[in-house]
Amino acid sequence: MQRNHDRLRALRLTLPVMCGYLFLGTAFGAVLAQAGFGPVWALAASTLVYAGSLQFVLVPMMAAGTSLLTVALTALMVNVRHLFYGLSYIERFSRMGRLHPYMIFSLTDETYSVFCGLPGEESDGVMVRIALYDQLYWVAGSIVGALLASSLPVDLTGIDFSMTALFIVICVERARERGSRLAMAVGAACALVSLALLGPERFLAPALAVTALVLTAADVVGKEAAA
Amino acid sequence: MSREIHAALVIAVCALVTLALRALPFVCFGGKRGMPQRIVRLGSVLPPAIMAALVVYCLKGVPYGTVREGACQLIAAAAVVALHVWKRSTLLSIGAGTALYMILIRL
Repeated sequence: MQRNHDRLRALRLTLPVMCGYLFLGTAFGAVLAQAGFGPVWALAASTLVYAGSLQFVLVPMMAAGTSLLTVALTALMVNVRHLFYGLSYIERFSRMGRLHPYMIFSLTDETYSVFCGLPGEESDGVMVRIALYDQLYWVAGSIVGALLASSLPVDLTGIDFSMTALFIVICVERARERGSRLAMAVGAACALVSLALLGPERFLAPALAVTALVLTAADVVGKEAAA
Repeated sequence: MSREIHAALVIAVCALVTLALRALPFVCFGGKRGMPQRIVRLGSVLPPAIMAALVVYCLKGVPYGTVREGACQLIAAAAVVALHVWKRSTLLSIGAGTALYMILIRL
């Protein structure tokens, strides 16, 4: 009885994520397949990494044989926000016993936002199902996308633009906040300068590192000035 | 290094880094200690900056490729912005923007 209730409740709460993840997951799977990596790779990436933006960015890195150091640095900068998601849930997850590690592993943007949107305290059964269902939607979408792209006689050249579109959408959404607009200008500027100086093949990791340095320095200076 | 091994390592590295980032707050701050204020401030300001840098990354070919290809990307990118400002639907903005790009490059 309780299990069915938990299942239905988790399903209801994750419905919006299901739409997003199935669609985006399919796009990811297709992009990956277009780069020459089939459904097994989609399954591996979506199960082990389970991070949307990073998964899109890792496709060109896989295709181009990018150095692992650059990959690590890129992964670090792209996913640094995940560091902060866990903060709000340290206490709640620690009460979940054996499920604790999976709850930590599966804390993505969308799962985090579902947790933040919960009206009140939910049972462990509901919490873990929210996390699990979200990952299942993502994995399913990825495999479907990879299968479709590999088997359909349709030429999907250009589908990797979905990554560009995704990042632009995220920026437009964030641009609604004033503080974010300045930060985005800094990030874009660092990237453009880095691109001009280092060329398209080498500029990403330095651009991200410099962005982090500039923002940290600005924070230090800002605090000193205020003191 | 073979293509497959490198690809597998890329996934492994990404998985490990992501897991480490997700686990860090629980490892460091699992107790009563809070996170330093500077880190909290950076936490709100870094993500949008990184996303903007990633948009530049996605469009990195524009100054270096053909004018035609660059135009396709910029037009489709502008369409994504316009659509999202207008309707605020993620599915629509990404779907229609990507479709537009795929059509433009085939013209």
